[in-house]
Amino acid sequence: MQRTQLQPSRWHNQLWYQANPARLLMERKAVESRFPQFALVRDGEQLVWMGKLTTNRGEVYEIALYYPDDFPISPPRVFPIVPTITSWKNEAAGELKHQYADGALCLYDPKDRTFNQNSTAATVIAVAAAWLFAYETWLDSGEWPGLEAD
Amino acid sequence: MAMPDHVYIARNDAYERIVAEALRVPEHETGGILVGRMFCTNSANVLVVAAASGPGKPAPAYADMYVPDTLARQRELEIWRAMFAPHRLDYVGEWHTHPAIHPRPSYGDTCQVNAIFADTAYQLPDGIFTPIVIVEHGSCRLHGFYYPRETRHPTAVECTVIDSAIEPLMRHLATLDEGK
Repeated sequence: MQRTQLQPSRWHNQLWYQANPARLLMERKAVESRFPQFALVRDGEQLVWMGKLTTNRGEVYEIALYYPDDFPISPPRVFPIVPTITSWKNEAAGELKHQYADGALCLYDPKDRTFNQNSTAATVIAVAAAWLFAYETWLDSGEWPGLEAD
Repeated sequence: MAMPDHVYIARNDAYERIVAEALRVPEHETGGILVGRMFCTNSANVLVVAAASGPGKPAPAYADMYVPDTLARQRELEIWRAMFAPHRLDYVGEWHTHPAIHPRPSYGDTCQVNAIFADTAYQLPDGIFTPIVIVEHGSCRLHGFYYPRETRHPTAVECTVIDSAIEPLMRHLATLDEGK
């Protein structure tokens, strides 16, 4: 039976953008070139992109994109700010449709690994824009366009 | 691959040692190895942590980094393996402290876990248990996190500290363990 032979290790508690400033630069370039209306701000130690998206129907949504502590291993999380969006799947049971319990938009199926670690926040904002289009279609027709995980 | 449904931590040889070490240097990051075994039964996957170490005496202290003494921890791992030889225990993970504002594994922790998964010197077929210990107002809180090898994402897991002797529990779980 093989047994573990411990190797030198280092458990550091740096934030992702301290440990990897080149990645932060890449994130800035990607978002500022594709979504210049977004601004990078800090919420405590977390970095957040804040900005507005306008849908084909002319509705304006302000969203906040939060980088997780373990970015880019985990994808950023996107929250609608104005207007508040609560897409009930089953209001009585408190279940949201394509939103997490804390209101974050469900943009990726965690099982299919569609979020690639090379994806930048610009890609996530684009996916959020597609989510808003689907949301408006669902409000109008009751049908969520595209594949649904649940 | 197995993700534990629950983690049982022996009070005397694991939890109390973690708390004592964390409280010894509350202003610095510290940590240690965890020795135990995963039991996969019909109804649940149970990770038992029988023992924990500290960082090893010569380990340098940093406010935002824990760099353990590899040889000291290996010696301790060998001692625990010998002590619990019938139970076939091995390294199952690593605990370490964080400031109270960071109760989850950090980006750096995930990088270290990925390095461990890539290193064949570690026998971790299912994943690694990496609880984060927070020292606040003179007391400790342990937040259980497990990285399944399959997803490599830190996933919260419930932990229970076992007051009684851990060996009867391991004997019982071994009889239920499908992998034996």
